[in-house]
Amino acid sequence: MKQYKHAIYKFLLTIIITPTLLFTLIFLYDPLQIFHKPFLRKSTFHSNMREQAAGIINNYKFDSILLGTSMLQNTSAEEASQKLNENFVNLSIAGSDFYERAYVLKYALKKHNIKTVIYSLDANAYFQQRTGQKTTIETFKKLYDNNIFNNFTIYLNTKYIKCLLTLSTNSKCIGDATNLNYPGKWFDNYRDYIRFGGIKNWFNISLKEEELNSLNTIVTTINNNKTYTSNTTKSAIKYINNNIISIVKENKNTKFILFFPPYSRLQYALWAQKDINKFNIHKNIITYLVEKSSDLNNLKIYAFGKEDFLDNLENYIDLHHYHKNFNSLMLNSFKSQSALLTKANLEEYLSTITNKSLTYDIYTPAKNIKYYLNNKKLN
Amino acid sequence: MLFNSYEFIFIFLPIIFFIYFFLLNKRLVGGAKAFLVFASLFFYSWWNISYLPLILTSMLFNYVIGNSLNENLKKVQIHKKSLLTFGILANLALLGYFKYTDFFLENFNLVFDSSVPLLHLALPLAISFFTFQQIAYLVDSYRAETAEYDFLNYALFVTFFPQLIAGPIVHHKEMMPQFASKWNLVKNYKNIATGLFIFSIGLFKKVVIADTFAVWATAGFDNAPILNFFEAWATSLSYTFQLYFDFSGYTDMAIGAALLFNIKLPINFNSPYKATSIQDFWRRWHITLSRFLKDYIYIPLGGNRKGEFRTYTNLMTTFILGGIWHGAGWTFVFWGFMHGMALVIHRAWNNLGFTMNKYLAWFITFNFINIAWVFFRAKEWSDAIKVLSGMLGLNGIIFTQKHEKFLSFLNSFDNISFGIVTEHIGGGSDILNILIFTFIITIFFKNIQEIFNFPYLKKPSIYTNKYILFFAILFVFSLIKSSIKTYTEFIYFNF
Repeated sequence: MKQYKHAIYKFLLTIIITPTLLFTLIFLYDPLQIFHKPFLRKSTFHSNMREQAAGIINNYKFDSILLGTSMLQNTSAEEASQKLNENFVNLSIAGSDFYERAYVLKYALKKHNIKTVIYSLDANAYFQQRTGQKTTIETFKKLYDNNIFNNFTIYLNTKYIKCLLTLSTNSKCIGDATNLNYPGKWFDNYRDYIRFGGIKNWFNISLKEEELNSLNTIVTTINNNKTYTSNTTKSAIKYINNNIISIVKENKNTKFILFFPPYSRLQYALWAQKDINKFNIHKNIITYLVEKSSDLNNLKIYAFGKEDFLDNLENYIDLHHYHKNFNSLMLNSFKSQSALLTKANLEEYLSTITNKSLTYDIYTPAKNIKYYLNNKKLN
Repeated sequence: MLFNSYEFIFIFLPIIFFIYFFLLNKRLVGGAKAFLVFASLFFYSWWNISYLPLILTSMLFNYVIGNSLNENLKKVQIHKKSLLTFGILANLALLGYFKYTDFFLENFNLVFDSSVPLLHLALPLAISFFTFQQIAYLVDSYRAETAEYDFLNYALFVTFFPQLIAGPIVHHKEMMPQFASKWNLVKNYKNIATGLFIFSIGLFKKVVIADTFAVWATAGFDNAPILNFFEAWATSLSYTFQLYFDFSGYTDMAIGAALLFNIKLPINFNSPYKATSIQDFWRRWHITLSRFLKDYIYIPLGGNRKGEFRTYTNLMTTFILGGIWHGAGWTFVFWGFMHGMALVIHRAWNNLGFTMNKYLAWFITFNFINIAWVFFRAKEWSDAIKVLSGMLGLNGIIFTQKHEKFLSFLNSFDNISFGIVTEHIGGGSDILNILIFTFIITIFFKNIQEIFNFPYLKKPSIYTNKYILFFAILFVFSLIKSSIKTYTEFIYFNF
């Protein structure tokens, strides 16, 4: 009997000691700085802000945040701090939707006394009303709740266990951004900056399948007149209310600068001329938010659809992603309030963007895209 | 409460274990058993308390009928066969009402072009298992194979939480003596150690292996619009392994948990994918269900005693009913039909005196089972056709681009191309590696009966340090894996 009793004790001891050791090591190594600033190494940050933002919020000082997608990742936090006279940090998450960002935003607002939030109103988010990436959302949520213990789960995967076993300081493990100016920036990625200069340059690289699909969609959209989106303004507003407006209302001392990113005119024109439902939802959302901003003193809405730089595809690497210069231009505008939408200028704004979108030539760029697509191979 | 959940492993199971043996230690045997019944009903009610009256009524009803059937009791002067028929019909009516009403109405509407509204009843958890278990009890009572026990012991036989939800389907005669034995009323460290080890293996099978395959199987069956050749095979094999590791993992956890209480549940799996014939497969797969189908359907129908034709008919009937037991749908019926037909062919083959090389026999058996699972898993016929047409290469064959330089000569074939092989199901090269790994452990490794010499447990070498460490690591690894994703239910909870 003794043999079996000992076997039970040894088994129980092992299942207690092994995780204890593992979690202690994880706690000490902590490459995302979820638990503490790094021991015995300089601070570095991952560009994957879905994971990294929690560490920044937990351990760094700031009083204002930039929270968007790739539309905002190239905005310098230092420049924003200088121009708007606050201490910004850029927590923008590539490809994020409002649902995901609500977690980060609420968490940051709880942990810090936030003065200003600059937030991008990405069209895909309110058109599709996404609720996070299916495969990662559960782990992601754990980083932004009140339970510190479940934060360990972010490290319980092959990638981080490999990093842990070697206590690696490789950038894949601990990130390569050395400051918080714009840890998620993409303007200096070769793959991205080489595509500025016009449609021809969009094909300067081996395109990924999803990039090719997106370009193919432009060509097919030109040849069709069907409505692509089935969602409605009502559901989009509900989505925005749940994930943004409710937070704005709960944080009256925080100023929220919400802006519609300046996509290329080609994008707006494709909606206006070929997918009117989308264009109408876009305009309805602008109207709704401007009306909301007249009720809520801490809410400001900005939009750049009247700007001429939207007409020139040389400023874009695809339909949406614009040059870093325009991130600076937007900051100037937030300072001067030049692109601020109010009830007074709303009608004129909507009328201008409608006219510009309806008169923009969508056929020539589509023809060029088709030409280059036919001469390009999948990456 | 799932066996793989933290609340079961760290709260429910330890608390029940300690209180049960504390009560026994105080010589409160009746109290300990009553506590175990209460705990089991709590475990059952955790999902949905509204079905608690259902299981209680079913239990009480069958206890009364069973006792009345028992030859030792002469109180009820009703014809025994009529009483048995009434008891069985009442159980089948309960099962039929909850499980098959909508299926019947759908087909009725289809045939008669009517629109009788469906009832959309939620299937009470474990109803198929506790109903079958109690039908077996009634038949055993009729055959005078059950002894007299009080209601408390009977309630424990039906509700004992390790086997309540998804089996193994146990006989009254193999459980009641265990509950009554005084040797089982004290802590047995050998049983506890073995129970913990077997539970760890089961947990690993479910959380690490089955749930990994579940992602690809679900993507392939439910989400992918089309599947190429390799995707379709990866989908079907993923489900084949998911189902086995899910269900045998559950059974191992049930056996392990029961052992903590000194109860030895019957084995349910014996390396079924090592089978070299379909008959061999059914002696290894879901053994307690096969036993039930054989003892209570096949043999009462006449078994193999009434000539070859009747034997074939009985086989088909038994397996079609087995298919329907799994779910109310034509795909389940067809799955049962396929297995029935395979058994008929196998029997005819043997009767004609043919033999087959055992490796070829294994290959044919495994592939047949794999293909038949496609119908078992598919929610709609179209899903099954999608997977099978992919497996036949009808939707093209895609090789990875890195192989293009070696296989460029294949470009001349219309349906062969190079690109992303598992675009619709995800997983990339992991699928192949994990399938190979799983295939090896399934075919070449020992099962728990062989590892532990279960149920005799006469293998002292298994309690040495290296094995203890091995089982503890399986346990910890599974817990870590569970912490990353939300718990998934066991497949057999749906049946």
